[in-house]
Amino acid sequence: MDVKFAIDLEHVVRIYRRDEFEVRALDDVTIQVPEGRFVAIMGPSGSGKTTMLNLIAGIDHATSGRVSVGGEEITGMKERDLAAWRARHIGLIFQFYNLIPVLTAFENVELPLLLTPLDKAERREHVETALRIVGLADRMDHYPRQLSGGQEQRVAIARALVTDPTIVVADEPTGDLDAKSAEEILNLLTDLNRQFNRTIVMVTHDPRAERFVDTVYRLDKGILVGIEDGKGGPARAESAQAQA
Amino acid sequence: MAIPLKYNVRSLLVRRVSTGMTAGGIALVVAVFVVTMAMVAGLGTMISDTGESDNMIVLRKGATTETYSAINLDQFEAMKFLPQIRRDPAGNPMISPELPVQVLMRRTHGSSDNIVVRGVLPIALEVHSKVHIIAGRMFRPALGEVTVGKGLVGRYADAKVGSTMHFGRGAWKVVGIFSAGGSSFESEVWADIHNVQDDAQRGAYYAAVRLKMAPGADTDALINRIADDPRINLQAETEPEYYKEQAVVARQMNWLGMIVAIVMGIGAVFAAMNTMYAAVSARTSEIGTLRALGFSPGSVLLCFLIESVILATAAGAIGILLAMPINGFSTTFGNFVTFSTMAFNFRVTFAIMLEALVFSALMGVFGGWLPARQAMRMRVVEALRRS
Repeated sequence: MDVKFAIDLEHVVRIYRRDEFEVRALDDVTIQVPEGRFVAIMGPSGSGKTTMLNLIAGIDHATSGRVSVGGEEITGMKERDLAAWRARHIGLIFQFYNLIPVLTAFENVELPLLLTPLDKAERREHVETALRIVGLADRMDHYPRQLSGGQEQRVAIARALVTDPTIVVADEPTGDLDAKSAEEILNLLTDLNRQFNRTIVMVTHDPRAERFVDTVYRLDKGILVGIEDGKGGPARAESAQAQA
Repeated sequence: MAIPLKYNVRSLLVRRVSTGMTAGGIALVVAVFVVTMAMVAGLGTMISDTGESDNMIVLRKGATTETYSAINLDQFEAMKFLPQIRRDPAGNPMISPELPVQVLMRRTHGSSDNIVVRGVLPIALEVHSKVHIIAGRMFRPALGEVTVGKGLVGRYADAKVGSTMHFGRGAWKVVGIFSAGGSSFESEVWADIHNVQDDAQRGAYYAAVRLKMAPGADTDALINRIADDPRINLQAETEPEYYKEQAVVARQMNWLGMIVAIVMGIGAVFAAMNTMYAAVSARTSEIGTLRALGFSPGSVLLCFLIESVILATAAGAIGILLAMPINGFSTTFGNFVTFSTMAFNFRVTFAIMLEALVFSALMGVFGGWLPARQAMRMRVVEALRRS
């Protein structure tokens, strides 16, 4: 049976230059994530988790290697094309929610839809649906400062979902939340993965996250050191290569 | 689609203090710009409105103003019956010999100014069709009476009907007030030309002759005739042409005003730039988020540029409102072409308001360009890292 990969990283290296020093944030990482999986990238601070997520989300460029997402190679894309590609294919969730403080929940969720050809009525319908899914239909006119941390993160999740992206990437989505809110967010992401078959890639420190995901990719010092089944389901990566 | 405008407007409102300070600076610059331009417009209108398109002014050859001109009686008589000159219903040619002289006149509050006393004949009221008696009556010849322009009323102690003015060698009874459509004649005193000749000891000379052309008269033929006829040998031009040349003062004031506005505008541009740099710095993570969501670098550039233009244009509108009370304000101005004082009104025209808005928008563009470019050039990853 043919397995479609939502994410295909091949010998990816990312080197940052800090003054005269070179930092190998990712070192020859190869992974393939099939469509519809909920996966976590875990590892200690400085292990390259966020770098890997940024490369998958198309907000950073690999120094070498090949990055394909949703069957499309993005390695050599120009910034303008990459921005348009992100708008079509990627839903982003950040640790600190990154909502625009002067826009209401509705307007924040509507933002990515402004880059689509949808008209105003269609945008409203999409936004209301997304906010209903995350349980915030009654908070549409609230500004971020009028919401709790958990609610803000739900708005951010609605914003990530509203364009029906190929992949949702989440950078420490529970990192700024209390235990109860973190649990709710992980449950919500799991539901989205299960109900809508959406591929979700999450970077996290949170050991509780392992209970919810299908697969855990472990990084250390930029090297992929392990692929494990999460307790949410069996690891089904067709191929994976850990660099020792 | 671009980043929504409400994002910019609300972001400006959130930073009330810095937005207010910058807007205040720009508003003051625009207010100064509007006041200066209103003065220039008022001056220009006052000078250019003095001319009538069917009137011609005749001066000595080479003279640029009435002050440097002299026309004798023979020349005037030779001109009087030229066929191109219109006649009044009584058949008299509508030609007005005139002799403006400078006199010192005491202001209501202390100091004195140079004022033009124009010696004319009663026919002047027909030649200068914008001039109308609005109080009292026209002076009667040879009685030492004067009629004063309404621009002098209130500014000069004796510029009122029934008063006696003291200038030159005599006392002059004020018998009327005239209006002249806002033109520079309103800053003059009109008296009998023979009385003025006597008082100024000018002999039988005039400084200029004004004439009204007959309908359909060939202007060039008349100008050539006045220049080429050996009995006349003078230079003639239409009043609009003459006053266009006299408007040099307004043009110089315009340049001066523009220079002042540009220098102040540069200061305001730096204020706007400072505010926008602060905005970009404070909103780095928002920029990163917008970029990560898929808004292009160009959208981000446009977003911050528009924000700067909104700020500057709104401030410009406030500046215009601040300057509006000056509209119609009447003041005097020392004309170094005629060496006399002229009264004029500040005029805030629609064109000036439009220019002020364009000026403020330009301040916004120049002030916002570099910060917007900085925002555009931010790397998404770096911008998000500052969350």
